[in-house]
Amino acid sequence: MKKKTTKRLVIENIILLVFFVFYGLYKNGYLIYQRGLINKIWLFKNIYLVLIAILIKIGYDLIKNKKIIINYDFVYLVLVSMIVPYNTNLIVYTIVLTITYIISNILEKYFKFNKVCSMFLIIYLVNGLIINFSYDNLLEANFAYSFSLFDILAGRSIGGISSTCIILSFISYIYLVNTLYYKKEIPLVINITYLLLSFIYYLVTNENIILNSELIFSSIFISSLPEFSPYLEKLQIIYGIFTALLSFILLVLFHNLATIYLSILVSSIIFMNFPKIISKS
Amino acid sequence: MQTLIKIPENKNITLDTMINLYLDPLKIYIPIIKKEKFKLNTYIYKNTYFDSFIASVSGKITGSKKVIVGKKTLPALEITNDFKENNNYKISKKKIKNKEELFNLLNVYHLTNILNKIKGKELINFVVSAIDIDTYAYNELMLLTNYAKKICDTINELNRILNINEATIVIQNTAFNAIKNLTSIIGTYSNINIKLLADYYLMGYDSFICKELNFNDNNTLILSINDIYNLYNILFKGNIINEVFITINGNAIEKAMVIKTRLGTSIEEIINKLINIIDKDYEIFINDPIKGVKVKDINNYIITNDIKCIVINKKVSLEIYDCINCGMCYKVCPFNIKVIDNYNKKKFNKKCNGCGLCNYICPSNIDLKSRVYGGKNEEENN
Repeated sequence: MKKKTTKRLVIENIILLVFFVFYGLYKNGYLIYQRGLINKIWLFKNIYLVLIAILIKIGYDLIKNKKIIINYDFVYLVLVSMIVPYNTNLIVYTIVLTITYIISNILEKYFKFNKVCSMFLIIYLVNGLIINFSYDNLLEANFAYSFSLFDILAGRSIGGISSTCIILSFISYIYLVNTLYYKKEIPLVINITYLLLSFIYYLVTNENIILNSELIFSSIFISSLPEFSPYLEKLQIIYGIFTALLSFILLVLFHNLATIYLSILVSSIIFMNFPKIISKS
Repeated sequence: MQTLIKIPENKNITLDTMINLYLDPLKIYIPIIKKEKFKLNTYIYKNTYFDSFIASVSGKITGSKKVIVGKKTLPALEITNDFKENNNYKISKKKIKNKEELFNLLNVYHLTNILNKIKGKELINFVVSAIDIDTYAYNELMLLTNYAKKICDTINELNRILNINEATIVIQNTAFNAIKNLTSIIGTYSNINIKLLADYYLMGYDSFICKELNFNDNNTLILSINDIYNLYNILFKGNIINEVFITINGNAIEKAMVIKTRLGTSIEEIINKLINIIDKDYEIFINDPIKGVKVKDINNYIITNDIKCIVINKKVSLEIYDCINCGMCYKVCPFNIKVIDNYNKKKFNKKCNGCGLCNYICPSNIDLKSRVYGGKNEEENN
């Protein structure tokens, strides 16, 4: 077991996320461009989102601390830029992300909550109110698709702009499990609970909602973020079960992928601010 | 109990294979606990006891100064060595027959730490640990490598006195030289076994050794090789223990070494005489950097039984981040302490023994130990 610094952990996380961004570029850039639905400028939309997120962090650091601090905020902002829908308006995204980042930095001194989910949800809501709430990209909106299992695993399913590749999520999880500081139980519990619930749901209603790339990605990268999840193993397991249960219920009720992030946000608020109540109950 | 972890070694540090001697210090310092007055130029004989401290050389009192012992700052007598080794403390050497005689002897020689381990216990298992608790210390291994036969003879003798059938020597599985030396002579000692343990930090603690060997703490006697060496001196030689072994190690010195020196010797004097510091910008730790304390002024420190090693490392500036709530401090804590909770509440925890693993593992480089253990020494608090 080797000691790592926060800086190193952040860099490792960012490197893992870069692969997803490249896949996002293929899925939500190249494939749409190939069909002539977008011009060259919008080919790199997911990269613009990542760069804007990084620039917001750098700008904030330079104004506040007069130097760039490599901390987990980089990961948070990059994650937000990866899970937003393809339809997100760049101007809305930039303005809302900047404001929510500043506000969340102030609020986190008073209570703990998952910053990634809160920033994402506000962007999603504002963007939805102005443009639309759909997760479909131009290709998905214009053509009817029936995805095979391999398509879904490879990441061709509907989801965040750079977060749909399940194979990459699995590979990242295998890597992260072998690092000392990763809360590996949380994604495992979330996905097992979700699979069990889906299976029961399938038996009852014959409706298949088993594979969900957004849930897998968010469980591996967002729900297990150290700052917003409990550190005691027992609490981690309860946190995982609760998150999966809430995600499942909300998904069944609303059929909206953004509800996954709402579930994670609610779980983080409950488990990080009232751990004693949870432990006692 | 939590899982132990291995702390990576600095492969660039070379260790002197011989034990270096520094037995003729110019001055020694004797900390005074009770408020007693001593006149200048009073002659102090070698091996005179002052509470739990001993005059390890003979000479006149030439002054006084404040020294740091453990967490306390104490006034100390300065004795200038006359190199005559005048000794007024004579104990007649005789063969020890039973436990009671051993207890008396340990009392006379002020070896209370060993006495407390043996007295009042129904001993079934006897373990001799060659594992240094401090990661940077090699005292136990060096003693075992250099005095393997004496150690085994003493273990044999203790087996007889304490009526124990066999003893187990535990060594880290990475200590190749010590293992090689010991295995070459162990064949002639039928009642001594060797057990190799994983090279984990804190493995030298009694509780972890017992856990690894599946022994019960209550009926197991665990002595260190250093204890056995001291017992060898009193059982076979009739010598009073006024010498200790310390390791001087670190990446800012030319060569790491184990030194045999006198109690009360100024650490500064030893470093000046024996150690070649190759890096100008260095920092000194008493005991290792994980468990021990960073020292601002080495001038106040003297050799005591608590000091096992001195680490002189190149100065590094650590970037300190906010806590990321990773929980590693809790995961590695051998005593299951919720370190973050204690840290946030600014609350000391009585269970904490200041091993420093939380500080070591923390990715944000937060000084958790100082708040949880309260183990900062007076110099740092000032």
